[in-house]
Amino acid sequence: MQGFHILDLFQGITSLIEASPLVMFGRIGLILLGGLLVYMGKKGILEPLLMIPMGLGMIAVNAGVLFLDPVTATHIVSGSAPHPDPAVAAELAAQAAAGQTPGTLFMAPLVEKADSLIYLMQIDFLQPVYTFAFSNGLIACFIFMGIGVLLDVGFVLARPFLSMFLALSCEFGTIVTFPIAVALGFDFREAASIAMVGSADGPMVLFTSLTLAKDLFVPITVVAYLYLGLCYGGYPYLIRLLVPAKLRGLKMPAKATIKVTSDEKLAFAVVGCTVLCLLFPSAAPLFLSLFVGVAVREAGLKYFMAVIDGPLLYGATMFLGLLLGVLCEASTILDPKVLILLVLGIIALLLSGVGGLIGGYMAYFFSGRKINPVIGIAGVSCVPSTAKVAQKEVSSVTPDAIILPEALGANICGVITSAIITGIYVTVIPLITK
Amino acid sequence: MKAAIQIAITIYGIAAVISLLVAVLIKALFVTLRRFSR
Repeated sequence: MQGFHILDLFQGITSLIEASPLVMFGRIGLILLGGLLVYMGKKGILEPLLMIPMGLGMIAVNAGVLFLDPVTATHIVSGSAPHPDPAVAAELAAQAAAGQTPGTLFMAPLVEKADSLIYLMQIDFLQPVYTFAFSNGLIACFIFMGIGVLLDVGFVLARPFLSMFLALSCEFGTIVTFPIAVALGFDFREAASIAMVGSADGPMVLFTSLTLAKDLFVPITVVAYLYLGLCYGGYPYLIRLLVPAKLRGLKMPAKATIKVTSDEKLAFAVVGCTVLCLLFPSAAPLFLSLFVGVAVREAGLKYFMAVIDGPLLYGATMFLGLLLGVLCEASTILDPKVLILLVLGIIALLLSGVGGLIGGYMAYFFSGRKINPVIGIAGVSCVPSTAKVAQKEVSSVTPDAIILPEALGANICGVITSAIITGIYVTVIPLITK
Repeated sequence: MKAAIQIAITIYGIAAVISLLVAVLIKALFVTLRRFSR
């Protein structure tokens, strides 16, 4: 028992005490934030499917910090992307050799060396899921496939021009945030990744940041998913602020319902996938995933549908939440850039909402004051939250006014335009920054 | 900053053209399929 200290037994507490005050308070803050996310998920304020696993992951990774044994620490340090500062890299290596490296047994997100990876996979809890499904964007494709199965593209086929126009208006935040981020000191790759938060489409943000700014993908993706929940809570206030009650309650003239057959929807999936993959091969995995989902639904492949909209979609969502939580280590989140990211994320979403409502007003005037401007906000591609928000706000003024079909058309087009913008960013930005 | 604004405008322009193209494609496809199914 000689030399044994009680705190060696409880290393989570020891590593907390021995860390710098910033890291200590950061870890405590993130543990509390994790608990808050679980609470808000349970209460339905934020998306429970994501927030409950994410909150628990955040708690576990910030509580479960220990001093890694020298072998593990050396593998983690040498298996990670080398630190840009050689002095810090040398210090890390020395700490690893002396067994003083604090870390967790959950994940090493910047692992690059394949030989170290094999060792890491044996110890890091979520490493295999991260390496094979997250770090390459596969999880985004799985979720996109699930979204495809849930979408009824008939709403788009019935009003393609209106839906596309509104969706494009809602990309205002995605575009305007890019130069703002550059002005705040981010490079083009990072700025494009942050700007994608304005699309309100989690898989797109994940895909873009993994492709363009791998070092910042953790905070950007976490910010994006945290804010997606705010679309449901925040946009109603934006609508009430920018659209007077008289216009909010505008009843749109009843049009004969255009019945779109499943054959037509399937043909759209095939042609849409072909054209978009031809135009943007860099985003082809996303387009394929989305349209495979649509095609499976329209072809009536019930067994595939059961797999995609059940185990695949919900399994991917659960692991996404858990991995995002585990990635929220204090050392990652305490990067000073994160505060700016939080501000830029909210600016992007706000501008997208404003852009959508401007598009809604334009549709209102061009249609001879027949189209309710509130449907503009449904072009923000947070399916189907923004369409529901639009209908709810209209119904609160005029209970029998129905705008949901038009709103869903714009909403689905929002997914397509977000994928288009992603395709342009991941194609154009690397060409410019070569 | 100026370069970033130019890039942003260009990207939005490309996105607008592609979105319009997709909308035209959807409409054309829809009309063609309806005509053939008659």
